[in-house]
Amino acid sequence: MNSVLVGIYIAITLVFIAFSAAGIYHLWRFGYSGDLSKIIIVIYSVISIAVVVVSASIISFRAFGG
Amino acid sequence: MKTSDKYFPSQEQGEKVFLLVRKHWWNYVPFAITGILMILPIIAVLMYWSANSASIPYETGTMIIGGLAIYCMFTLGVQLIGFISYYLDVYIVTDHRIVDIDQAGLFNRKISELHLHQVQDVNAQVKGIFATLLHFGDVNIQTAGERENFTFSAIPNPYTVAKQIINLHEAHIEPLTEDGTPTAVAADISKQAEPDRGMDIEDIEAQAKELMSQTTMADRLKSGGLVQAKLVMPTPGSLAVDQSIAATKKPVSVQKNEMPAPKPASVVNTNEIEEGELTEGKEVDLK
Repeated sequence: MNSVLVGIYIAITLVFIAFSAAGIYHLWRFGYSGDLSKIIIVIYSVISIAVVVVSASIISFRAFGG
Repeated sequence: MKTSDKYFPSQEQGEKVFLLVRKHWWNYVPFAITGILMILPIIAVLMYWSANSASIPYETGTMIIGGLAIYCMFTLGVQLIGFISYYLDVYIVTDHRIVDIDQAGLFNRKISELHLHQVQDVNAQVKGIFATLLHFGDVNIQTAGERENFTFSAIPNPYTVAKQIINLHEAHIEPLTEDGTPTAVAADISKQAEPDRGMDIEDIEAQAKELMSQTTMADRLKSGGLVQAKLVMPTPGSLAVDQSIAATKKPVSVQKNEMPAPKPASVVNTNEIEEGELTEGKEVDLK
């Protein structure tokens, strides 16, 4: 996998992280007490971190370490 | 009030929330179906990968993982937008007002408020097979004046919600003054006019007569020689009249001096009060 594709992957991942931060802020700021906002924040964060960490690990290992 | 005691961010001190209504879950179904459909390709690729991992070229496999990760992020983002648009789009009814928070995506949030005094009519409508079966529909709140009507779209149990809004509205406007002004509004305006309150008309007349009855200039000077009186009528449409009464034997002249009208409180429906009524001068005849 050449460095251009890795660069695209990194750029999209950064955009995704920024977008997720904005979304989580909205839920945190405008959520209502006792609703599902906090639970969704946790679920979304866990899945997002898992996707980013696993994919980044595999790609970096295969692209640069393998 | 602690932040944790608030149901919504702009909730005021002592404001009680009676209803917090979201759209019926049926409105989220399209997003849920989209989410499921978007997850299917991910599952398919992973199954293909696990079955043919040995035959996939090394570099192609890395690209597939990268593509799959980007697709997962896209799916997560779409679902996050869908959830926020659905879940943060709420209608709130408090003991003072009705708040419509319209959330469309991440960066498009519109908040409309309507005071319970401005409610004129509330009706509920259930239209369609699914709406009838699942008990959801629209509640239309007609407002006084030229304000835009409020519509609670596709909310569960619309008849119950409409009835509760009517009950709250009636409970809120029930105590009226003689001229039909809600007591809360009249009290609020009186409170605002309080610092400018002077003597009432009987006091002015009594003081003027007393001055007239004084015979010597010395008495007049001793008593101040000039009576300053303010008359404030603390009801909507009233005005404040500042009167200067010269303490002479000449007929008492009344000098009109319009004071700034009491600032309408936030609870006053400005559509119901003509601007001219607040600023119009008024003759007061003192003998």
